[in-house]
Amino acid sequence: MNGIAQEKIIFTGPVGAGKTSAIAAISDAPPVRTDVACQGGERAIKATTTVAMDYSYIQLDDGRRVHLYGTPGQARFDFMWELLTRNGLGLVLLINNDHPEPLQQLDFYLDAFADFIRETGVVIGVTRMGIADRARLDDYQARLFERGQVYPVFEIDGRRGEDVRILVQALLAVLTI
Amino acid sequence: MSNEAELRISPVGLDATGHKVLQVVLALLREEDGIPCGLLADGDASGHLVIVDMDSPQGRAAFTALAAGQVKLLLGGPPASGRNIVSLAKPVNVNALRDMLGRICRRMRDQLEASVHDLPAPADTGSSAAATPDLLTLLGNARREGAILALAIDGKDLLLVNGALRVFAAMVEDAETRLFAAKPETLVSRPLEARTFEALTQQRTLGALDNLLWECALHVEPDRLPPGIGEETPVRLKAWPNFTRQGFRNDYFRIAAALARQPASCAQLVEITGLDRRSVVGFISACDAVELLVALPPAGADPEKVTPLHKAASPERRGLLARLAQRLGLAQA
Repeated sequence: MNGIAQEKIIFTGPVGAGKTSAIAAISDAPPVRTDVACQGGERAIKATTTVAMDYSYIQLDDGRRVHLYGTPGQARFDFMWELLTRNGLGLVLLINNDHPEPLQQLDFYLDAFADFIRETGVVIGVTRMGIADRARLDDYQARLFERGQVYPVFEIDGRRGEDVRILVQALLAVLTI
Repeated sequence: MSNEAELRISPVGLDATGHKVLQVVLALLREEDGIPCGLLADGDASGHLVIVDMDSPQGRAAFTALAAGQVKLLLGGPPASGRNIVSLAKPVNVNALRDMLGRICRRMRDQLEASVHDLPAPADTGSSAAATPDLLTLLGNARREGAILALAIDGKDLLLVNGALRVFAAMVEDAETRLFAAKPETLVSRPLEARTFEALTQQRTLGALDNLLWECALHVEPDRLPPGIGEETPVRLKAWPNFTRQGFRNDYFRIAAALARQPASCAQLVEITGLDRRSVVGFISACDAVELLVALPPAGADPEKVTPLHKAASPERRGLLARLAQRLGLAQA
């Protein structure tokens, strides 16, 4: 892979939100992953986590590829986010509802990617709903409304291709309407 | 405008001061704003528009029995919005009530002039409550009030609804189909205790009440806009529907994306999206049922500003995105 391709969709979100699974659910090849052991508190969430990025692609019928990049989950790797998003098509933000403060995670990522979202578009998938029920989908909708942002936000299972396709379908609608 | 098109307004549970304010406002609407409107006797809930004092026991009791076709203006009580409902905080003054009533009446009058027969039929005069609520109204009220109830036809419970938990349980296999097809007068609802609901549904799968409301709105009147929303009424999307768990048509993504970008009327949405009116009406009805829409005054500025979301994609990118949609087996987004 020479450099970061331009025809790309970025998947972001905190550790354990399901970015790798979501990419795998719709891509044409298993994601290429760079994993190392987690440090500190992150160990409780996953035994290993992505510290560089996930990568895969969808092959179009004209030979072009739409590249799918998963950002590193941890905020300390945020220096990579700008590089990854440069000239990207749009953002898929996955939030793990099992996180102790999922709505703050939502705020954090929307703020962190605000410029990219303004230039393109975002769709939000909330994973692991029903496990902890820390927040209902209404709470996410209300938080977005408070922020003055009517972004698509859906409950998803990142392992289900159909759910991920619906996320992408909403993103495409947002980008093309 | 003929007398037939006069808007009848029902006051329910208003105190003496509330009555005086309302009488002054109606006089101003008639004489200065040119809106023909008449006031019914207190407690006669048969009007096109019902003004309910939610701080009074009479108002709260009557509210749950009002018909779906009636527009409700709630004074006091917790803030409420949604299908056919607007609320106004108390104390109510003449200017605020005149402004609110004026906007509602103009919208209703437009509908009335377009087709008198399309207006929701008022209930029988003299009744303290309106006609039998339809399924959508019953479910919507349960959701809004956190009520727990059983819905039956011919003495058989078909559905148990817990509005507080926003869930329901079908008690027979084809409960939804039968309820969607049922005439309102055949529906019987009765309140349930929380523990009764729990006991009766222990062995049953619970569904999301919003999903049921969504489907109900799409089935009941798929070609008609909800009462209170006319062809030219701008609506604003408060949030996207949860498409991964609610039935959708591919068209709905485009409509939601358009409405998320800016408020628009049904007619404008048909133009913006290039979709057929039936799709747009279905989407508006379903979103209204789960309170995802806010109806705005005609040509009025939205007081709650929604920030611009993003830039539109370039033509080259649109081509790429279309190919991606095709590749993923999605309808053209």
